[in-house]
Amino acid sequence: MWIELLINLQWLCIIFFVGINIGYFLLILLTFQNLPSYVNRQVLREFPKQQTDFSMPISIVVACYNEEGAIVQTVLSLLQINYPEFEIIVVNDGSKDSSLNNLIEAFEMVSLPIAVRQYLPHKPIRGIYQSKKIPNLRVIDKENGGSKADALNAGFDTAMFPLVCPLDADTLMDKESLNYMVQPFLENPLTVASGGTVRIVNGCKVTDGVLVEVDTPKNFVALFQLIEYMRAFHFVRVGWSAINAVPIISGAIGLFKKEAVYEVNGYNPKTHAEDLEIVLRLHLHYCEQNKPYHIANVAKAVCWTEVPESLSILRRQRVRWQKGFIESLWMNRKLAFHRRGGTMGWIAMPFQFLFEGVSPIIEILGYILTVVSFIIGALSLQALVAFLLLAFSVGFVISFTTILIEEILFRTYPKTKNILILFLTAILENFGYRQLNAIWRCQGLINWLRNVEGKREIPRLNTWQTPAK
Amino acid sequence: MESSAFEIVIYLAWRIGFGSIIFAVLLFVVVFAMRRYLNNKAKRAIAFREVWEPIMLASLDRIPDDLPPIEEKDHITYLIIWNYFQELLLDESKRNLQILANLTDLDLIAKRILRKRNIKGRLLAVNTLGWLKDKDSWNLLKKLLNHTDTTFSLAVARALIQINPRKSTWLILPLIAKRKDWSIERCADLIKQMGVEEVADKLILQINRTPKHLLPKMIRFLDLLLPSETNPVIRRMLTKYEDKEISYACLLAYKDVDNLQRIRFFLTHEDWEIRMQAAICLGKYGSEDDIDFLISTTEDSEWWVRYRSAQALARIPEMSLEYLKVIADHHSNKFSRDVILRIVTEREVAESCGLSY
Repeated sequence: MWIELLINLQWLCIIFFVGINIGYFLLILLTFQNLPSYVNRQVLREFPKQQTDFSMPISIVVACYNEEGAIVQTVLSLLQINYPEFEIIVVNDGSKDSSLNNLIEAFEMVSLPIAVRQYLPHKPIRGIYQSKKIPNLRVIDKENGGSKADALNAGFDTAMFPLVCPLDADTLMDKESLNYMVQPFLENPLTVASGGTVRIVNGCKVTDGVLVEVDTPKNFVALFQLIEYMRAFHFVRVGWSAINAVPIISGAIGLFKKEAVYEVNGYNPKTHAEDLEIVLRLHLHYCEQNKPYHIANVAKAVCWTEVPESLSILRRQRVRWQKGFIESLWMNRKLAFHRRGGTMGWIAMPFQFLFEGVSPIIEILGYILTVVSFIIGALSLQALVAFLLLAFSVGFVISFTTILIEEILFRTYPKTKNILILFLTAILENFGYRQLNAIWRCQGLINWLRNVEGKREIPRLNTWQTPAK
Repeated sequence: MESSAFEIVIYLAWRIGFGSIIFAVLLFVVVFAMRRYLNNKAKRAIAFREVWEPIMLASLDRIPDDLPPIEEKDHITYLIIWNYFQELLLDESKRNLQILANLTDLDLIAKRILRKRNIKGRLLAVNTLGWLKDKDSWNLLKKLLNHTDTTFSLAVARALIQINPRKSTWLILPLIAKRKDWSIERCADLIKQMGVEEVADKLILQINRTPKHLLPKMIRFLDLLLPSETNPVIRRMLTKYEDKEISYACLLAYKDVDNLQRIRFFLTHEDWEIRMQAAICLGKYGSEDDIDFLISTTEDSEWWVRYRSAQALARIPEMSLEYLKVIADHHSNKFSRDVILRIVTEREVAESCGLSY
């Protein structure tokens, strides 16, 4: 009986393995079909262009919690963005350190009377500051809401412009990113949100908020994440975008129609994956309202962010992310197989539930079953080697394809040594890192089932941001 | 204990596994081959630029006698440099660039590239033909004007305007109205290229012909015209239509300084966005007569209307900071007081920076 159960579970793992990889290959195909022509179409953007009075102004909202070492540099780097009209709103979410004082001092901020309209749920605003040096810079000081969602809601409420770009405090945005991210809104009036590509700044050289040299990280933990991010942004999101089923816009770089965020009552402070949850809720909202809409992914809108370099911090992050991921999917489960759900409801959501949500359990189960089956003689050595070969080789193909996409279309890494490192990392991640990730994600899933809260803060190195003087 | 089905799976696992390894090795080789190819291509482009950028710069003064040949592999790079200079320079400086283009058969190069499939090349080719004002390409470009690709169709529109602004007007204005993927920003660029003064009457005629559901976008372009041209159209639109989107667009483009009574009427419109836009208009064109209207609008239920009304108050020429503070102090409504005081501080900050508010 036990052997039979073992065999049945093995079949489940095999079917699951086939399903998820077919899904990834289809996304890769969609990427090759769409991404090259998108990149090529940007050629005219490289020419000098006159600004017009008709461009869509953008509010950049930066949520800041205990970022005293970094926030001034972050703002300085944002001021270098090339876009006709934008404002920067830093939301100081009840920081316990000197984030607010650093901003006030660095930018000569004066207090404005608090006259703010509150549409979205967030903790009270304690103060509004306007910079005397930089007219388009404001700081909102508010009581701590316990979540980034709360801070972003306050940012949206105080934003002056119809498009809002929420950013992480440690995000280094490419100068042209807003120009790229606004394109879907210009070309399709139904666009309610667009997301960009997140790259890893670890190992790169940044001077005065400007990226001056790109390099791969020196740390293996960061390198493994580099390959993961490349897969996520080079083909997973591009592929979903090709069938209008973008399931997530990264919290590090996104652009939203303010009105659309109001329609869904803003970010949900009850989840740790507020960036995923709001996009799913937008999809659900427009499906339920039977209103046409569009959510885009813009591959050339790039931002750089720092990733954890220690396994303990990474573990905390990934456990939290997976918990947030599952709870966001669960909160918006009505979207799955919604009769007006389209590709999002009928393809992307089931895929997310099954292959991203539940996959860590199946993956761990697969490893355990394979080993146990081998030990008890239910699986021959030949079969064991065959399965391991299949699992690793398919993983190599997917990662190597991602590197090919990177090399043909983006060419971010100038040195041949970088590419060799990427290949090596893509191979090595299969021997330990992926398995660890699966365990952490399992833990995240279990935390969700048990309703366990993790720590909000993920310590950052802030290596690209020099301390404020 | 493996069933025959399981044996098939193991068989497939071996085959696919080995196949994947071979494919992965192939990908590895392809990546480096592509890298080498693209690096060589980039080096070639750099080498070409090092020769031709100085030639183009020198050509602005005098075209050099011996021009180096341009190989087919360098055509795209040549188009990029030539177009870059066209976009960068003022008209007076470009005359010799046209002569240089003739000497290097740039029009033939562009037409050849336009026949290919690569979108990057085609975009550059269209852009080039536009700058060359190549009349021979007119019919070819006209056929491409209705291309479904937004970027491409806009580039074609621009090129047609450059070749013959007058002839292209009635091709493009209806498309500006009809094509939802042509953003207001890009369309405004096209209209400016046609020459706003030359095309004003045609734009107004197009607006009059445009179906109601497409009007809001077209009305926005009235902002490019003079008040004497805009005002009669806006008055007619506001009288004829009560549609919120149309009214909003009209208020955005409003310049009728002598006819603000209608604007004051909109301060009590049921839609808050209309009320807000009316307040903004009064801030631009209002006078002392509008102070009381705006003070009352600072009590609006909608925050944005209150804020823009207070801003408008601050922008009335006769309004001083002291007077604003007096208004705030004496206002019985807390929300009005708060928003006016906020505007007072904003104006103080702006003035302390030497900026107008």
